[in-house]
Amino acid sequence: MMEKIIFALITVMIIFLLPPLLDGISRKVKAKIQYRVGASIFQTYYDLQSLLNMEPILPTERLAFRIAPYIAFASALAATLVLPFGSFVPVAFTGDFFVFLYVLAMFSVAMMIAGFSVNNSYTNAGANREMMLILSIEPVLGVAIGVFALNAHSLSIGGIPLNITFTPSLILAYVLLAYAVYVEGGFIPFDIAEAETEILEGPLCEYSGRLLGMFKWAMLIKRLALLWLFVSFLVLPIMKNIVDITTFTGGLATLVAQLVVLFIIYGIIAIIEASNARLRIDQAIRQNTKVFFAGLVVLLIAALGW
Amino acid sequence: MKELFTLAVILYFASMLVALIFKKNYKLSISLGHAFTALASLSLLAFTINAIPLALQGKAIDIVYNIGVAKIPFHIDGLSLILCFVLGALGLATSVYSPKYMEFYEKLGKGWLYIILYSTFVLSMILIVTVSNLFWFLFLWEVMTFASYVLMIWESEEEYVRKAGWKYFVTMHITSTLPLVIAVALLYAKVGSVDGLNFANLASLKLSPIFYVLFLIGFGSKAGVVPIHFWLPDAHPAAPSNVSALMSGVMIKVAVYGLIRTTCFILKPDVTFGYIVAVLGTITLTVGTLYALKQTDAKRLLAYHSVGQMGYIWLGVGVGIIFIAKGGAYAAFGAIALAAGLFHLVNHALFKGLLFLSAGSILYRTHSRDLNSLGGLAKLMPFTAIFTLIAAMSIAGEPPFNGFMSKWMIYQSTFLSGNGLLVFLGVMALFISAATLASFIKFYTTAFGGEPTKLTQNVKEVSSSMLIAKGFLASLCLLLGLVPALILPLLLSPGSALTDANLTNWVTTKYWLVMIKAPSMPLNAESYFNPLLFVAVFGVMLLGVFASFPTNKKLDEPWTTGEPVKMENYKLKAKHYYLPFEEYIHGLYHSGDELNKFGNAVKDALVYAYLSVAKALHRWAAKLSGAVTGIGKWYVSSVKEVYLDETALSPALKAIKASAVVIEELDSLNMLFTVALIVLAVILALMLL
Repeated sequence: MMEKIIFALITVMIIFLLPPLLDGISRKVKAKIQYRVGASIFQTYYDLQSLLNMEPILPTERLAFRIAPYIAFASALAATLVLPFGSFVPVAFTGDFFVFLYVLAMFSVAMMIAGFSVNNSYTNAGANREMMLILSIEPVLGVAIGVFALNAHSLSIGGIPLNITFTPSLILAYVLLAYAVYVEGGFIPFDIAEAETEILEGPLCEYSGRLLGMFKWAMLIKRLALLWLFVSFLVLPIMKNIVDITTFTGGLATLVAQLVVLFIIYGIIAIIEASNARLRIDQAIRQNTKVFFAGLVVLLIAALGW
Repeated sequence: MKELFTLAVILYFASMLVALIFKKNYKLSISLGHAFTALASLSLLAFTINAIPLALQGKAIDIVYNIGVAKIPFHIDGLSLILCFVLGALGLATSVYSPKYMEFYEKLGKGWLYIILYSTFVLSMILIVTVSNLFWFLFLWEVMTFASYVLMIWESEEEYVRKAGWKYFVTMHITSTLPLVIAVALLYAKVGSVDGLNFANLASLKLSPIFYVLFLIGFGSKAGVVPIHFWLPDAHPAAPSNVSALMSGVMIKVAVYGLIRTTCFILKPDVTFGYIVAVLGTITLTVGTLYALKQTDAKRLLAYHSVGQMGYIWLGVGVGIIFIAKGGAYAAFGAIALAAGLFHLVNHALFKGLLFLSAGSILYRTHSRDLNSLGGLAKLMPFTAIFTLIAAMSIAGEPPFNGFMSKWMIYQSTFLSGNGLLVFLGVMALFISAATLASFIKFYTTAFGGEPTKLTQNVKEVSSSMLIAKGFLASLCLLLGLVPALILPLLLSPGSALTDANLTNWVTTKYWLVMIKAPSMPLNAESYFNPLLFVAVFGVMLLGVFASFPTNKKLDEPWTTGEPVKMENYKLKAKHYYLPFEEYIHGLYHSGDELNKFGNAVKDALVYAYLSVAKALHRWAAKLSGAVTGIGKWYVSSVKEVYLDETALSPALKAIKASAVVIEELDSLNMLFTVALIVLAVILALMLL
């Protein structure tokens, strides 16, 4: 029982407090690469704090616009709760990959409905781009899941990493999953929907104060959820050979390993972000389609059993 | 229990009678008629709920109606009950919705005829899914097609309605009725009597694979499966919205019922056939939905999605057939896949019915279905907006709504199949789910989002009876999503009837949990979902965040970066949504259009051939009828007084007249129509003999 409480506390810290810190670190890394001093690594906390203290001004009476940030926040949180932290799953209302994806997708749905509900071409354009980006990346994600399912005979987030056998197609599936997670996370060069310098942060353009703060925080939690999924897929298959994950110490060791890998990956992402420029939406669609067709080859290899 | 079923049938007939009695008063005839159809639907629902425990034990209810000249047998098992539920639920909703909605068409009159057609249409579908004789099945099938056709061309003064109706009528007869008639004729030749066409008797025969092909074409074209889908996006929107709801909600599902009944219960499930159904389903869901993506007409968009969602149903059913046919360890998995397809069938009926009723409400108030000119309705029609949003999220497959549960089960049955091809079909289903989401975000936000436009600024919410009908369907969408266990056992029953596998080891359906296992699945890696817990967690977090960070309503104009832009020009129109993506998949649209042209050419060629035969037959018939008229004239002149009660025949005459409007499209329409009926009558008569 005590052990569960410890895990629960750590998990809550990770879910709520880690995402802004990761963003702060990422900003610092980018600044260093671009020969800037950059803000403190706690800057994202300060930003969120000041936003959350401000009263928002609404551009429309549409209820959808006002409650979208809350829905987005709750869905990002809910999705994170089904992921394995060590061996601890906070609230296991599902163990299934698809439920996780669809719950997480409610973030984007809320953002798009809000973006389209305002008479503002910038928010409309942002929502429009977000949808097209999802359309082009969904098949890639599907192929990655398909290869994992063929390999592990399971669709369970906890079950797949513990039951995979290493084959060439599986390694390629990891690449596909990494790509899909990167695109869905909206990192540069795929920050097409929230393009700040181009369309005034797209769907977030009309948000201000508390509601904007909620959305930004939710966005960071969504990125954590996506990356944590990928990290778990990387770490769990290795750790299960080293420690017994189901014990307290084994679980804790796994959790630490997950955290370390998460920081490394966030660092790598910061480097990619710093050295790339945003793609146009049509370029992104074209590129994702190419990846999808490459993915089909991977699926074929997996179907042949390699 | 049987009495409840009979009561429903009687009430449908009573509604026709009532409508005839009050035929002078448009509103009264429709209200009273629909009061009876509502009662009939309730009685059907009561029957279904009472009969479910029996079906779960693998038993069926047998009823025989003796109508004097023939005995019609009915055999109601789990599969029939699924469709009965759909018909009851949607029948109830449209019965409550229609009296107010049909005021829209008051200038056209003929309220009594509408009620007769409506009741005939729904009743024929109820009987189709319960009857257990292929001859009567075919007869009712034709009644359904005909009734739906006349209902569809209700606004026959509009040219596009006549054209769509004509396309529907011709396509259905060539691609649906004809293959079925051939199949029945071939079977009749084998068994030699109408009684021999009983399902149970046919199932005991050894039948050739040609029947798979005939049933596939016959039912596939009615279901709108690619490549015989081209009639559907024209046909369904042309009808009044309440009828569109029934056509998209139930009529195309009856075709799925026919497919399963004939190819799984009469013929044996076959692996190759299952693959064909699954692949056709995937092509259909891809083509239908990607075409839907670029529609800007509300009802046409919905109709294209009917094609797309039928694809999901066929995919589930196809995978089910494959694994049920394979048997062994995979038999139970097949039953689950079949249940997934059937679950989507039920769900699609509910949310697509609701969406058509919503589009009808918009049409009723704004007289427009053009998404480019609508806007801001959420402010003016708040309840319709909420119900539409629920339906949109259901069809897009967002948890916790019913569409998610069935799509989730379809993903499970494809991704866990251990078969590369089926996994690929699942990937396509996942991709198209995103396209469905895109399309319905467009549908919702163009009609309901933003500020009211010139067209919509004076619009009011629709009346309470229309809202109740939509609210009923919306709550069912939510209920079946939250507690799928309410219906899952029934959905699993056809699969377990086809296999002797014990399903309890493979699928767990408790009120709070759905869990699925697949063959060769490792321990503790099952797929499970607990919708109630999800909603509780989500709700608590939503309220928590809402309480922690409350906001008040401080309003201001949207920011235009200082440009003096008029607000109505500052929002994306429906036609501008997702343009880069549509341009990117232009090739697909192009090849689809080419295919369509080819299909139309084939259809035209067939129509031409049909017409030539019909003309020849007509000449022959004219000579014959000339002779008959001669006798008649002689009779009239030789007999002093003739008492012919014209009023007795007038409804039938008027129905034929209504259909004849379509025929004016071609020179030879009246002739063609009579000949079509004669040919059909001759075929039926030949079969009876």
